[in-house]
Amino acid sequence: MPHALRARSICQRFGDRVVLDEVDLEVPAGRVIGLLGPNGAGKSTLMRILFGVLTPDSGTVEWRGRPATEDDRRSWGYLPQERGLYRDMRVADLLIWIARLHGLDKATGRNRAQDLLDRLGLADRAGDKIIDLSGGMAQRVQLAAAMVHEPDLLVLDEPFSGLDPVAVEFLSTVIVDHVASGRNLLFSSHQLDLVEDLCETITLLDRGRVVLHGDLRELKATSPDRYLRVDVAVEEAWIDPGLATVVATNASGTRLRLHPGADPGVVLDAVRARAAVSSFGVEAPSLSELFLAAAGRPADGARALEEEVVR
Amino acid sequence: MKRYGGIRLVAAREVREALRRRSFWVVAALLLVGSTAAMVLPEVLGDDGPKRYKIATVDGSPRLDAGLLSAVRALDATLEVRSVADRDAARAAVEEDDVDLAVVAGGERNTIVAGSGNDALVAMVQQALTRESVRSRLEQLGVPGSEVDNVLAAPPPAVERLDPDSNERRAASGAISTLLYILLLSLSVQVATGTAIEKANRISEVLLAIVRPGALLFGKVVGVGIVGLATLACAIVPVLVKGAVGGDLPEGLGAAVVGSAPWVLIGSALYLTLGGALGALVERQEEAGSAVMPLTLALVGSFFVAQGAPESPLASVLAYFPLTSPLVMPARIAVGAATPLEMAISAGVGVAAVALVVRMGAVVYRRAIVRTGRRLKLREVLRTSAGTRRAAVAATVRSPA
Repeated sequence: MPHALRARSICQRFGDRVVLDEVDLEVPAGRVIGLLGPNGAGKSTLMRILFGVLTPDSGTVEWRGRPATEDDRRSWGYLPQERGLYRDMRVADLLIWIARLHGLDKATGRNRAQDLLDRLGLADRAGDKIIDLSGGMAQRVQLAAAMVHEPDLLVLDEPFSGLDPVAVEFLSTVIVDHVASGRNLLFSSHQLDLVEDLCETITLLDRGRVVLHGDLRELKATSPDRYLRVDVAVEEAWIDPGLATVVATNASGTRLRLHPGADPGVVLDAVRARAAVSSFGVEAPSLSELFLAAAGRPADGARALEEEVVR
Repeated sequence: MKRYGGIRLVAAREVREALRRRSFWVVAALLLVGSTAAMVLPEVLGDDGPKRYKIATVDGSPRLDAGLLSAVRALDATLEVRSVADRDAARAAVEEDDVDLAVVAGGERNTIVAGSGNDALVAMVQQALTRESVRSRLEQLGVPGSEVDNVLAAPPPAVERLDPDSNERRAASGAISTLLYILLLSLSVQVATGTAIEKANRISEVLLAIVRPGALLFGKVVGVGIVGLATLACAIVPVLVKGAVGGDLPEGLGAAVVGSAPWVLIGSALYLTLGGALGALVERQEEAGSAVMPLTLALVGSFFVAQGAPESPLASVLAYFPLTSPLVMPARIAVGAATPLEMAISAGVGVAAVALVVRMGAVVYRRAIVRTGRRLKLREVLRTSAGTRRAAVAATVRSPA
């Protein structure tokens, strides 16, 4: 299947700040694509460029092999990072209005709005003002607004931020359903651990550059890095520094990065000599670890660093 | 979607949401009731009939009564004469407001006893009494009464007042410029605030993915403009209806209302578009008011000139400037100071300015609406574009390598 959406060599700068530097992005059909990276990596800017909200300094956006036109873009659905709704409007009125902006007639818009509100469990709030809804409900209305014209491509910018676990589960189902019906979807997130199980294909962005992209399973399989997980707290001194390094310790145990060529059995024995291990495993890197290896720094550390700079 | 479909839908939403707000109906009703009252009340009160003056006389006579009658008739009023005993009784009657004035006849000369005010009545009575005494003296000298009447019937001199309706015209001009001032000020703030809300709440980001920035800006301008003009119509329609049915309008008001229409449209287009562009610069909704400060200053300045000196040389200059003409020109039309040539040039400049501002406003809006994080300066938005273009050129040059 060819790429439905493709961005090539996108460059964008704001003043002296380079936000995107020669970024390529591909969205193949029928797969859940994650555009991932720390805050400030340029994900939202790239999405705005995809939608023509921003015109890039250079680079092209192609839809089905041709440069994307305004009509193409209007056929897509966009959930921006920061929720934007007219707070004084009634839920159904807003959805019908958005449908009409997409070129649908009023009756079709009304039917679609009704369907979506049923699916999203908001049928009884159709006549309420948006200001009277809870945050989670407003988020669903926003999602409905992005889907009311049954878009071929759905682009969700940080759809999971601020959601409770139930809402995360619900949204994941919506995403998987959309893709399962043969349509295209791209979403962004900085919470790599949260979306690890959802993503099939990833593009990792850091400081405006693509540091890694491809099929997530393949990337994990081909990564030379291996990790040993044990369910006890391991101290750095227990292990020969030439074999492995402790990368994380938490309540459920310790994660050690095995150095190239190190035998996991030897490392495990070194731990077992000090503590009783009841559960362990040799694992491919997690999404965060892939990012760390590609970008040379942790995704969360980047955020802390940035906040420091701002202060 | 058709080319103007986006503008139409955005405008329709503005109108629909405005009609849902109670404040719109309250303002519209107040204006309609106020304007209708101002048009109808003078007619109703005018049907009260002629005023009736009461005059007390001491030592009156039929000829005195006849003289008084002719005096009040000249004032379109009727007369009630009552006799009192003496000068003190006459004074008491005047002081207690039982009568409008009193005439004490006899003796060397007649005396009029009056309180303050009633100047016209006092003057007319004085004239009548003078005429009466001239007549009786001539009769004493042997001139026949009929000849005396002939002589006295000579018509009084006519008075020619220059600019007879000056006050009415000034009032009409003041009313129109006040109305337009309030209209343009509130509407441009409304567009700026609406734009700021959309930017701050990131509504614009959703919409920009669907419609062009121009459709968002001008849809809002058209929508808010329609609502504003509908509000204005509530104040204007009673005036037009009264004029159409042949009612008595203050001098200059009808012409000014009709003649102002082009400047109302030009002014709305200019101020609302600029309001939207300036509103797109802000980061928070509360900053919208200060963002439109330049517009507010232009409006306040032209308001004072339109109110205070619509015929001054300053006003005749400001009538040509697009930001000041929407208030100054209608005021000049109302006072009759605008020449057709001046109106044509001013309207032409205004239309050209609208064309320019529509383009510039769309550019500023498009660039500013997606740049969040802090309040932008107009100059910076206009300048950045040049920087972006240079960067784009540099990138294009670099990319083949």
